[in-house]
Amino acid sequence: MKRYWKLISIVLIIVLVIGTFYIQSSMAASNYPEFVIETVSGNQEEVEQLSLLANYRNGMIYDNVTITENGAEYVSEGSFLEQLEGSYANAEIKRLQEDYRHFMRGKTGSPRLFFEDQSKVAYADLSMETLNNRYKPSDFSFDISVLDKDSDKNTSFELPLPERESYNFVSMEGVYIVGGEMKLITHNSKGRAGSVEIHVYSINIDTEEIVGDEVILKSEEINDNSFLEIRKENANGNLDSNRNVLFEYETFEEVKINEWESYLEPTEKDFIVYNLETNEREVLNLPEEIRDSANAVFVSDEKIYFAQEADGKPEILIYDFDTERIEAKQSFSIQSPVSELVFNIKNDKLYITSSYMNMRTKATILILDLKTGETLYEGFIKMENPRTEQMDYELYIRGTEIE
Amino acid sequence: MNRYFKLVNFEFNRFLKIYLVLIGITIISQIIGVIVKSNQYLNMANDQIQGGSMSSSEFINQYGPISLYEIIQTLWFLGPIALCIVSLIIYVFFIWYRDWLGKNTFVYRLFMLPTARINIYFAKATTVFLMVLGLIALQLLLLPVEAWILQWIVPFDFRIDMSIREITGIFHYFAILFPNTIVQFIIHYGIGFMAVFVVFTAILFERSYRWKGILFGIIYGVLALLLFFAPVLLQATILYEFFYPIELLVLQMITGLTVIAGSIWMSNYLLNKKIRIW
Repeated sequence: MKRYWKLISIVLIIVLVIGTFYIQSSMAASNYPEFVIETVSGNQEEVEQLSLLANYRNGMIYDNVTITENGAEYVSEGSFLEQLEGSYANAEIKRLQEDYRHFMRGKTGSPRLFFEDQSKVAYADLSMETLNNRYKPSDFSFDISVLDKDSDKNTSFELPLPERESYNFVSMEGVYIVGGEMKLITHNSKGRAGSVEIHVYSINIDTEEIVGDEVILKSEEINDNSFLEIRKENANGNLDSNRNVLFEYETFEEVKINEWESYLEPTEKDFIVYNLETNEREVLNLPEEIRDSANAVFVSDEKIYFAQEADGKPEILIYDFDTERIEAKQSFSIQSPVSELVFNIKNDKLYITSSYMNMRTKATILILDLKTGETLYEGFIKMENPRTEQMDYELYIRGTEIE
Repeated sequence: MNRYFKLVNFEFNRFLKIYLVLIGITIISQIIGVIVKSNQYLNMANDQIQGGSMSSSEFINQYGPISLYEIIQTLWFLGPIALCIVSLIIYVFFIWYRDWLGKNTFVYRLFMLPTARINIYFAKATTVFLMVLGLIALQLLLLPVEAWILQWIVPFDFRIDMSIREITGIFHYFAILFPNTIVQFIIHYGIGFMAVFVVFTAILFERSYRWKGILFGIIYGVLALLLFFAPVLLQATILYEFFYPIELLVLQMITGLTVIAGSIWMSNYLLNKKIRIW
């Protein structure tokens, strides 16, 4: 034994030091602060379904964190397997991966590429050729997969995009199945810079062919110093299965301050609704009460929810498609501009959260009943037992998820 | 088993002197680094503050407080780490070739020992592995000492104290050497161990077939690399995004263990049948 003492001591040192390092770091107090949701008034059960997706930053330290009523969970403090599974992936995508594990293989990307209803799960994306020694991608085609939930039958096919040579770039904006027909909404840019078309392609799933190609929005009369932005309003990263798709069509004029500086002045803003069932397009004739600065935060089959500032206070306006009127209006007591709030709507409940928090600014959480206008819950995010070195933190709330 | 331990002990003691020199260089260089950098920072602070151009809080605002994070990224610190890494990589080759060098080929006596020849292979691999982990442990022991020296030199207001975990987590190269969780630690060093086995096998190819063997060794290395990364390569090409992360991990573990088993089997064959002593 005696002749082995050097070997034995190095083995002992290795095991002790590395062992202690990992045992200690698994038991050590977290380097990150704990955040909890503190109730001010209302029913605490309302906030149980809410998760806040946030980025935490403190000097050189940066992490993704999910804050719920039970506390804060940091990505880097999760187990290796949790980190591997990507704990900040979209919740809807994660659920689809759990429910339809085989179908979801090889399908990545944003929730807007997916559709789900009672009988089907669908996926469509654009594939393109980019390795052609050319400056722009080419050979755009649709990659489509449909899963029939009852028969568990999985159909996949590829369709070349009609007139694909004429586009510079094409991106997928939405996937829907309406009345057995697949509708794909795409954003196609053409020829000279800034020329944009929004297409709706109709696809017969049984015969696997494109049966319709309709341009529902386009920009042609745009002059050289104007810019156009067309945005499809989405339901906060949820799979939206609406019949109505809302677009925001906004033009800007470039205003020169001097030789070097200029800014973009919005000149026109329209909201356009496309009905996927009737294939009708309508430019909304909004009441005056909805200002130009209003954001559409949510769209349902019958309603649009606008958020805007009135007299320095944020408010929510509920607009009805059929009656073309404002059905309800609700202001609430958060002292921050609409652009610094995160909205989410589920089951006629509106969830409003401040998007930023640090030691001096407070992040408020409000839950309102959209039917009655009642405030169901009010609370705020609270940092528990802050340590001095954690004081300079910043917390950016980038979204919310509701179970 | 007893033979194996004797062989490990023998190999270990053979390299111990150089190893202790490496340890010494690391300790001295890193500690001098902490002292030099802390003093440089303090001198700069003294010049600015005593020169009257700014108050101490203005100085901290402008230049920032000092922490081990700044000191780690200097040559004083990374130099000895790089030296140790390079030395150990050379040692992976040296541990075999030294036996063939010299006046009387020592390997002849080694192979004549009344034990399975694969034990020599295992003993050499174990020695390399112990040396690597020993240096890792040394760095983990040094960091708190260095943090303590920094605290001793620099007054509280001018420094940020970081825990060992924070230092290893924040600096990217350290995150490879000291991963966050024990599972990742096993994965990182498992891959390292696999690489050592593959290189050992390539060396034995060369020792068996000499010039031709270099080619065999390279081919073997490429094949091992392809096999090990096969799941990732599939995932990126024909089976695009097909596997879920956990499946990919399991597949990588299987291919990694296959490469290790293949290398041991191949080496055993070469050692018993093909190896040339002269």
